[in-house]
Amino acid sequence: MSPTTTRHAEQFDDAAQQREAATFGMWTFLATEILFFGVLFAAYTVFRTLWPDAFASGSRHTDLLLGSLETAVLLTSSFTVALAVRDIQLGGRAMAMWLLVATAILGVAFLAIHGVEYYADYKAAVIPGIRYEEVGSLAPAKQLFFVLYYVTTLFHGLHVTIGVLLLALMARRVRRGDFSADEYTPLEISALYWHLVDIVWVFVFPLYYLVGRS
Amino acid sequence: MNAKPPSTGAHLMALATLGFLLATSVFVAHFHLGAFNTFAGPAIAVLKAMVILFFFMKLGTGGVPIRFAACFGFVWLLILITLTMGDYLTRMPLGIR
Repeated sequence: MSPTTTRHAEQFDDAAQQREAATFGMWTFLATEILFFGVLFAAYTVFRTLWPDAFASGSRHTDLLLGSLETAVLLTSSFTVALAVRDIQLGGRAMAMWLLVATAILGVAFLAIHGVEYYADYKAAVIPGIRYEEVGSLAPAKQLFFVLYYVTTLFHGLHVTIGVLLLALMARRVRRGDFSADEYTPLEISALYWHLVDIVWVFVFPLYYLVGRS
Repeated sequence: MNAKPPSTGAHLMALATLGFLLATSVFVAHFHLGAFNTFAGPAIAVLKAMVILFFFMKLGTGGVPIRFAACFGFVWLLILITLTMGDYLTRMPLGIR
């Protein structure tokens, strides 16, 4: 496992072909991830169509400031991981490692902010099945909003956690000199994964935080 | 195979665009625009996703198989939501003919 060499597995003609196959495999995986979250988005579309007032009311319970901050944090993390890949492509190393560390820290910050939101939700008693004290005609349908909100954000949080671990591993490998300007496929596909996690949140934000604000 | 990556300035421009779109979506959500409120947030989210897909993920410079794989994720999602909504929106209460 000598670092900074352009090795490739025997079934490939060269490192470029191997990288293309790995990238294609990653995009195929990302397509399945879109469907994974797509089921939740489809359920959201159905329930919101059936109970629009309950969803608008439920959305007003979410913290818009923290949601916006979380979005900004994830968008910035996409920027830093893209810069890390760029640095490696240009033959860099130290800067790429710190950019990956910064991206992982932004991921942890996102999870921490979301933890604050969950705690506030617990205190406000809007967690169905655990602590739910909403009353009124919209209360039963609002449970559907909150159930979908927690399932979606918890699964997204799980993906962020996996991404943080992946990025930390990539930072370690960059530090060790495992990648070069010619061979950085694991870093590239890890960055693709992180960007998808960002894209999912880009859609979660308006659907769960911006409804019924006018 | 290794195309020259975009400059740091171009990356900053992409981030600034994403920040602008985020601020726009929050701003627009506070105005009562009728049915437009329902579509404004998701529409701006599509624009943000495009910036990430084509700039940070470099989808435009990927090969044809990669573009197909990326497209089909979204196409399947569209089929899923269209068929599901087609079912729910055409259901009638039991007993009505």
